[in-house]
Amino acid sequence: MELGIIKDGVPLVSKQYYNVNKIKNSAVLRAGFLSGLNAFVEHTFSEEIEAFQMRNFTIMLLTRAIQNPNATKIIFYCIGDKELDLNIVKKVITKVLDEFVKKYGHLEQLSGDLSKYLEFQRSMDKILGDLIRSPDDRARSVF
Amino acid sequence: MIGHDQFFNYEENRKKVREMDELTPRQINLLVAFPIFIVIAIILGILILRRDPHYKANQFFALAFWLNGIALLFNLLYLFSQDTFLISVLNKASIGSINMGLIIMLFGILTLYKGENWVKETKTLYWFITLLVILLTVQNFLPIDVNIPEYTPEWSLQFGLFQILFGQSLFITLLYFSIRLYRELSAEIKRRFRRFVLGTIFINLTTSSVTIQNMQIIENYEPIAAVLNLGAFIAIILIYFGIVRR
Repeated sequence: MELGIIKDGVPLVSKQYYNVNKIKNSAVLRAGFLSGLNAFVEHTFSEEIEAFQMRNFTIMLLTRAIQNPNATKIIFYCIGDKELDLNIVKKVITKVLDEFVKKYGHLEQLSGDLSKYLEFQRSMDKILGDLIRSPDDRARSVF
Repeated sequence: MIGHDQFFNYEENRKKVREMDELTPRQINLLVAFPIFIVIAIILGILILRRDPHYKANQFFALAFWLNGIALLFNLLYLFSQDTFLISVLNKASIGSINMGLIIMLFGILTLYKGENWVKETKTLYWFITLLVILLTVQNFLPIDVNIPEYTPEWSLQFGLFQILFGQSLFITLLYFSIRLYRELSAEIKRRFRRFVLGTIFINLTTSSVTIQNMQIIENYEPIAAVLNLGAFIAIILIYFGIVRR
């Protein structure tokens, strides 16, 4: 499972928690692709992508407009396996996105030095709870 | 000197006293297997909570084992009782605890499979709990009798059929999600999880046997029930080795 926040095709925050189905290439390439795809769908169909599925993966996107001086848009993405429960993920990542906007939404320049977001990964882990653990990791806490 | 009639009355009374002193297979079985089950169930709950007391799945599993232990404790409490009211109340409490244990165990499996956000973020769990509380309340109002002179519970057809439908539906759901979770596990955890699933199958075997015994639909079932009741003992040993031994 991988989660991240993208602005203008650049991953501000990105973390891979477990990699069951072997996601290839870097997070930067994935962020660029997802951002481009979202922009294309928005331009063509006048709506945003919520989620799409492949044989082994489910990708969920959540877009949020930030009311800072530049009026930017950020995208939260979640790449999981086909068993990903979209209703639960949507509720949880909305909380993550709200927290991000609360912490960094006032910044004039969201990109630039990305090290300022490293601290946010801890908040993200806390909000996501055991969603960042695979069923195998969860089962290890009992068995 | 005692007369002929007095002698035979004396012999008859002695025979009755001897019969009362002798333990039935059910009593022997319950006295041997169930205390071991109760002790292991308590230990299992404590050990699981010690691993991570804040994780919902651990809390569910610990509670499920304790509920199973409590159910068997209720059985022991009325084992030698001749109070029909106490027997019927504790018997209902016992089967209620078994059902609750199964439900809580299902929540534990679902937490491992879907994550604890399933518990926190969805309303499904609350609807599910409401439905189960209604079903358990309905079951509580169904009649059961006490067989005299053996002082064993005797379930009405309604109570027995309700238990079969309710218990087996829960067990099949538990098995279904256990299999789905099993497919997501690594080889090492799969090995331990298999023992746990096998253990739950043995628990279901024992519960089903108790249902048949209490419905008294098969004649001379007691010796068979005595053997099948050992399933509880095998179950807890399997679960113990699945969870504790690493």
